[in-house]
Amino acid sequence: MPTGDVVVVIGGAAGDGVASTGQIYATTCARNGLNVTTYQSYQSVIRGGHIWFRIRASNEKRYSQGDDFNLLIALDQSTLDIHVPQIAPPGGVIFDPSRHDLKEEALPPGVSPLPVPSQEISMDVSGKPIMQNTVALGALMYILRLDLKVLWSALEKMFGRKGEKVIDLNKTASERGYEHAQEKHETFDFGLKPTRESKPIMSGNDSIGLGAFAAGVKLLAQYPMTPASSIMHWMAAHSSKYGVVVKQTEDELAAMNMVIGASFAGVRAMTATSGGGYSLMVEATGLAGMTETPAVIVEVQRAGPSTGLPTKTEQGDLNMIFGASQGDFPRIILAPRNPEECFEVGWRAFNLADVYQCPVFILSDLYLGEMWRTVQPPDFEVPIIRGFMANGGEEYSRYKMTDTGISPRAIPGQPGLMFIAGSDEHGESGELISDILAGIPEYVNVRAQMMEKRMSKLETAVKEMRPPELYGPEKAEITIVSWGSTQAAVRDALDILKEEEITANSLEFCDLWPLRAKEARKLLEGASETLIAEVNYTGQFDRLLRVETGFQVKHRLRKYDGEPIYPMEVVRKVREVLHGS
Amino acid sequence: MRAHRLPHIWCPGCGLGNALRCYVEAMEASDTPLDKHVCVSGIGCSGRAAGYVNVDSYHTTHGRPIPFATGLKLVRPELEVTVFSGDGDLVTIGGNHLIHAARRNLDLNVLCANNFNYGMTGGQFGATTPYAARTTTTPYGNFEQAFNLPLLVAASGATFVSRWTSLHVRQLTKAIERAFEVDGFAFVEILSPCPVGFGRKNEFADALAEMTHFREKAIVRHDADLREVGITMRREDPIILGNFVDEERPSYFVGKDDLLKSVLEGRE
Ligand code: SF4
Repeated sequence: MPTGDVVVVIGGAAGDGVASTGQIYATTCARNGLNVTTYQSYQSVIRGGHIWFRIRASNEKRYSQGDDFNLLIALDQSTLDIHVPQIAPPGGVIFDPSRHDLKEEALPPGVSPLPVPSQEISMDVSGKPIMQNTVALGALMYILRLDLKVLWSALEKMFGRKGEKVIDLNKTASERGYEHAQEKHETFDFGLKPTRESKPIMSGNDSIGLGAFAAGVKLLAQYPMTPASSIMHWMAAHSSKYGVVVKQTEDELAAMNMVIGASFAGVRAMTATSGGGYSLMVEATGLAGMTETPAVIVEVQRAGPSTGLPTKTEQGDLNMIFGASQGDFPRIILAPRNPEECFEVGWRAFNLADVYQCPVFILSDLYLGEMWRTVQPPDFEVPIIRGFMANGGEEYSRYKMTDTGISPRAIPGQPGLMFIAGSDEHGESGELISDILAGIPEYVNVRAQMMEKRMSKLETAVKEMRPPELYGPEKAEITIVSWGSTQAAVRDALDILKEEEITANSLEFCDLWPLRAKEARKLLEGASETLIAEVNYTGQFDRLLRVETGFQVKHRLRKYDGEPIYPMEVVRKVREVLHGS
Repeated sequence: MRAHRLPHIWCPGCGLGNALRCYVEAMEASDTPLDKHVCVSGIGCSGRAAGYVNVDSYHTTHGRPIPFATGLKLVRPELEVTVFSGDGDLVTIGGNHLIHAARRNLDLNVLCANNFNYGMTGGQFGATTPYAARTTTTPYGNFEQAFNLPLLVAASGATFVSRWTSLHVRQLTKAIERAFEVDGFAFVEILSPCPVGFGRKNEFADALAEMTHFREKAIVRHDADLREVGITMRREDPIILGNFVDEERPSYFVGKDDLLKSVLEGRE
C-alpha cells in the first residue's frame, strides 16, 4: 500500500553537486506542498570523500529523515557500491551506465535499475557535462509522478542569478531526462499527493537568524566554526536589509566581548558558535553574568571533545553550558526541538535576556542546524519586551535591590543615570567592593545580598519558562523523554509503534534551565514506564532531570557515534523495554 | 610524506600541496635528521599538513599551534620545531600568539600559508583578507584592512622574515631551509592560491587564473621597505616577495643563558 512517504538519497563525491541537487529536489517537493525533511552526511566542508543527501517527502508531517530509503541517485561509483544494497523496496536506482557500473546482483529484491544517459543528454543539450544532475532530476520527476513544471520553478530559484540562458538549458536538460524515463521506465506509486500550497523550507540555523531579526537584533559578532557558520552567512547576506551589523571577529573571545559591549550600549546583540568556540567565550559569559548584561549565545553542538568530529552531531555540551564560567550566576538555556522552534527561541531568547539581564543560551546541534524542513510560515509580529529600564527621577542605582532581583537598566549617555559596571563584586550603585572593602563586616553582607539578588532572578524566570510538552496519547505504555532535536526521531517512532499496537508518548523539553521541575516530575510520575533518549555518552540531561526532579528515568538510549538517533533505534529500544526483545 | 594519508583533502588547484612539498624537501635537505624534525599545525585546510608529513607531528586546536610548539621547544631545544598552518589560524584567531612568539625570539619556524580567507569553514574573511575582497561574510566586499604580515612579524622582533608564493618552489624551499638554520624566530609567509574559497568569489575564473596572477605580478625585492609590501585587490599592484629580514639577534635561549650566567656569577 502506498504510504505517501518516500525517501530519496543523492550521493556522490564532493564537487559532484550533491548539495545543490538535493536542495533543488527538496525545494521542488516543498513547492508541491509536500512535507519535507532532509539530512546531509558529509565529512569536510572543502573536499571530502563520500557525501550523501537524504530528502524525505511525505503527505503527512514527518519529523526525522526516516530509516529506510527507496530511491537512489548515484553521481559516482562509490554511491552505487555503498548504497545500492541498502535500498528498501519498492525502489530503484538512477545512474548513468556510461559512467558507472551497477552490479545487478547487488540490487535487493524489488529494487529496479533505472539507467539514464545523463552525461550524453547533458552534452547534447549544453555541450558540457555539467547538467547531468538536472537530467537525473528530470527522470526522477517522471518516476515519482511529479510535475516537471514545479521542478522548473525550483531551477529558476536556484539558478536565478546565473541568467535566462542557464535556466533554459537546465529546463531542457530536465525535460530530456523526464522524456527518457517516460520512454524506458515505469513510475512508482508512493501515493504522494502534491497540492498547490507551496511550503517554506528552512534550516534550523536560518530559522534562528530569522527569529533574531524578528526580535530586532542589531549586532551579530561571530567567528567561523562549523556547524554554526551558516548562521553568519545567512545573516550577513540579509544584514543590509534588516540594518544589522554582522561582525566577523578575530576569535571567539572578541565575539563574546563585543556582544556584551553592544548590549551594554543598549542594543540587542548575539553570537553563535559551536562547542570549541564557546569554550573561548566562557570567561566573558561570567562578565555578562556579573554585570547583569543581556547576551544571547547560540551554541550549535557538534561531536567533541576538542576538534572532535566537525561535521557530525552530538548533544554533548549541556554540562559545559550549564556550568560555564567561575562562580554562580543566573543563566537561561533553551534547546529548540525543530526549525519552527528555532525561529521561536530566536526571538524569545532576546526577551528573556533583556528581562532577566543575564546570558541566554540557544543550545542547538548540527543535526537540527543543518536539517532543512518545511515549516509553518513564521509570524514576524513577535512581542518585544525590553525589561526594566531606568528613566531618571530619583537617585539611580544600577544594581538596586528589588523583590524580583531585577534592577533598572540604564544605557550609557542617559543624563543623570551614571553608574559603574565592573566585573568585580559591587554594591547597589555599582561601586566596587573587591579591593579595600571586601571582608569588612558591612560589605560581607553586601556580597551575600548581591549574590542572592542575582540568583533570585531565576525564581521569577522559572515561572516564564515552558514546561515540557507531552505529545501523543495521555495514557501510554511507555513515556519517552528527550530534549532538543531528538524530538524528531521520537515523534516518528511513535507512529511506527502505533502500527505495532504499542501506545507510547513523548515528553519533550525545550526550556532546560531554569527547569519546570514540578511539572516535569508530575508527568514522569504519571508514566507507566520511562525511557530517555539523548545523543551523548553520560546522559547529561538524564542527570540534570534526576537532580532537579528527584525522579530517575528507568531506561536509557544513548548515542555518541556522531549520528543522530533514528526512529527505528527508538522503536527497538521500546520493544526491548516492554517485551524484552 | 605519509603515503597512506594521500590523496589529501585539498581542492584541485589549491596551493597547499606545493607548499607542503617545499617544506618536506627542505626537511630532507636539512642537516637535521628527520626524526629530530617536529611539525605542529592548527586547524583549517593547512592544518591538515601535520597529518601528511612523515615526522612527529601534532594537529592542535584552532589558533594554538604556536603556544603548543613553544612549550615543546622550551623543554626539547634540540628538536627542529616547525609550525605549518594557515593565516586564519596563525594570524587571525592566533595573532596574539604570533606577535608574542616573534618578540620572544624562540627558535621556532612558522610557515604561514596565506590564502586570504577561511577555506575550510566555507570561505569567510580573515585578518589577511585584502580591503574590498569578497568572501561569504563580506558579500559587499571587505570593509576592513588586512595585516601586512612581513611588517607585523618583523616589527615584533623576528630574526628571519620571508615571503614567497607556493609557485616559487625553489626559492620557497631555500627560504624554509634558511628558517631551519637561523637561531631565532623565523617566519615564512607562503601566498597560496585558494580557487575554491577565495579565487572564485574574486573574479579569478579558475585555479589557473589565480596562479597566473600570482606569477605575473610577483617581483622579488629582498630589501623592500616592509611598509610597502601589503597585498591589495588592485590587479595592477605588484606582489612583493623576498627574504626581507635575516638578522643576528640573540635568540631566547642565548638571551636566557647570558643573563642567567651573569646573574649567577654576581652571586658567587
Ligand atoms: S578551500 Fe582553498 S585552501 Fe582549502 S583546500 Fe580548497 S583551495 Fe585549498
